[in-house]
Amino acid sequence: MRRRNLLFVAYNNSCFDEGVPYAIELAKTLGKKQLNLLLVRDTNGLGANLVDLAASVNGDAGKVAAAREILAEGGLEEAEFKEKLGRILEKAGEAAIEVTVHASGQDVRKAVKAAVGEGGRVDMVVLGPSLTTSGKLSPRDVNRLIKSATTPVVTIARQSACVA
Amino acid sequence: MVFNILVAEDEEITLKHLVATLKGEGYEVLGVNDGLEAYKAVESWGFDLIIADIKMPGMSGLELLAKVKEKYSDTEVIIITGYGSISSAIDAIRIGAHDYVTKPLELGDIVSRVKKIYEKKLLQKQNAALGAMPGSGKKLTIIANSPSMNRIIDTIESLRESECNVLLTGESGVGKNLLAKLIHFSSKRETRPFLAINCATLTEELLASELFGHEKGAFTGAIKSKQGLIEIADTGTLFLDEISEMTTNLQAKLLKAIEDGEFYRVGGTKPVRVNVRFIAATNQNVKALIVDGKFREDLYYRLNVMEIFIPPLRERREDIEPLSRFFLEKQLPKARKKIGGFTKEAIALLKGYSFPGNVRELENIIERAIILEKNPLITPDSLPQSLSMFQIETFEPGNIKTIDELTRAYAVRVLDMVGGNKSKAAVMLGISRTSLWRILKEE
Repeated sequence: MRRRNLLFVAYNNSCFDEGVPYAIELAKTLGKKQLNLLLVRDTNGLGANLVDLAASVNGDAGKVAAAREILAEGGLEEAEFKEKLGRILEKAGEAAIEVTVHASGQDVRKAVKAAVGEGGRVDMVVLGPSLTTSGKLSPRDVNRLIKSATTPVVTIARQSACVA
Repeated sequence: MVFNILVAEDEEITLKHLVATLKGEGYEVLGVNDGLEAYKAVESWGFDLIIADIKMPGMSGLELLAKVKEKYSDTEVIIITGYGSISSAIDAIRIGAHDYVTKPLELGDIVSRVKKIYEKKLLQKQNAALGAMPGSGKKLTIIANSPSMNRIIDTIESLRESECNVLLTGESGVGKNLLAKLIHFSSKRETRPFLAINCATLTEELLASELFGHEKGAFTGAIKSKQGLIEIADTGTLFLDEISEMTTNLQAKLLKAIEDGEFYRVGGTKPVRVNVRFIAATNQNVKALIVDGKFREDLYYRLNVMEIFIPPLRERREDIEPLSRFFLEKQLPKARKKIGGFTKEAIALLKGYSFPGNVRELENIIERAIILEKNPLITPDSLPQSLSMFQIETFEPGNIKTIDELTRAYAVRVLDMVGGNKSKAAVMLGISRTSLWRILKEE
């Protein structure tokens, strides 16, 4: 029996939570039990490994330091992150969806590939507006990501972009 | 329903007459003249009913009865004796015999008693199937404005006289479950059981028990034997949703059931014979799973006698409006509201959405809209904000080939043709070695 989950990808900035409520509703509709929130650096990182922020709450000092570094690079204060994450967890809880948070220093395509290849099964990838409307991810990058994906990919682009 | 009877009687003439008479009634009958032979037959083949003489060489009828009841509680037993006595009758019934008759036998009487047991078992099976048959008797509605869905309905119509297994493929929420029911209820098996199970929601052990049933004592908690869904679906259809989630161990067992029409319950030693039509469904790329060794190719070909692909809703947008109206009509009675339809803007918004969750998502959106709407028509305000706030697109995996990908694939092919010689390949392609290296390096 596999865990059925949806991967939501966003940049590590203050707009990371945009589109998450939609992803939660979509996960609920599709019968997914878990939403993986993947925060990626918005510049090409240099070989940082996938970091589990959820695990960092349990006091893995090395992971906390790495997570703080990635968050800080995007200008995302830990306090702001926790506040927004709290709202996400509340909404997800109402929908009986479990949320796990990961951070990655790799570029979006590599980070998504790694996340989809990880043990827990990803059935769908959702690229949040912070990625698609920021202008930092080109249509060509999105195209290449979609091409290399082994699961359906949903892109969310906002009419007017959230300012990070 | 196939009904298997074992007759154990050491008097040759009585045995011959009983076997011939019961075969004449259409039952599958085996005759043996020894109690021990009878028990071996039970262990090897399994029977619905045993008619056993109380006195036999090898093992007495009462001993046979006790052993059978201990392991195969579903098997009914009629004890025959020429030495009718109240005490042996009481013993037989106490041990678990269904009936007790005395010689000289009246064949008509035996036939009548056997028929009662057969009808009881048939009713038990039908009740078990009816209890598990979702939507039985309800009218199935398929909304199909699009050419692709109309083609699917034509295909299902052409399957009306067929008994072949079917594989339904398509994204989550496209309607594979509904189409499986349509296939069954359009077929010759429409009055027979239709059962469904989702292979992704159970552990391997639970799925095995649900599908194949188990014998008493097969595992902790198995206090009595239980029929599996394959057995209950006998003569009908079993729908296996998310078949790609089944472990390869269970796939092997399922393959045997499909190929031989026979399987063993968990912890069982006697085969169970069935006649089941299988419809399977998946949203995965099964061929890729076969390459990865996660799905058996032989099972795939057994299930995929006919494959029906159901396209995602975004590829048949002409179905969105009629589906929306259908769900509105379906949900309104529950909501006790008067809503006459949709505004043009609401329909436009729905038609512009890519529905990653397909028809199931549309149904949820309409249900929510009915609750929120205060106007006589559904307006964009009662549709999810994300539909107007965001531009949402859905892409199937590997569906888009960029120019770079096509170029690379061609370069790789040319390189293969020249045995990996990059200089030769570059010359053939009319580019420099550096350019070729750059193309091949692209991922």
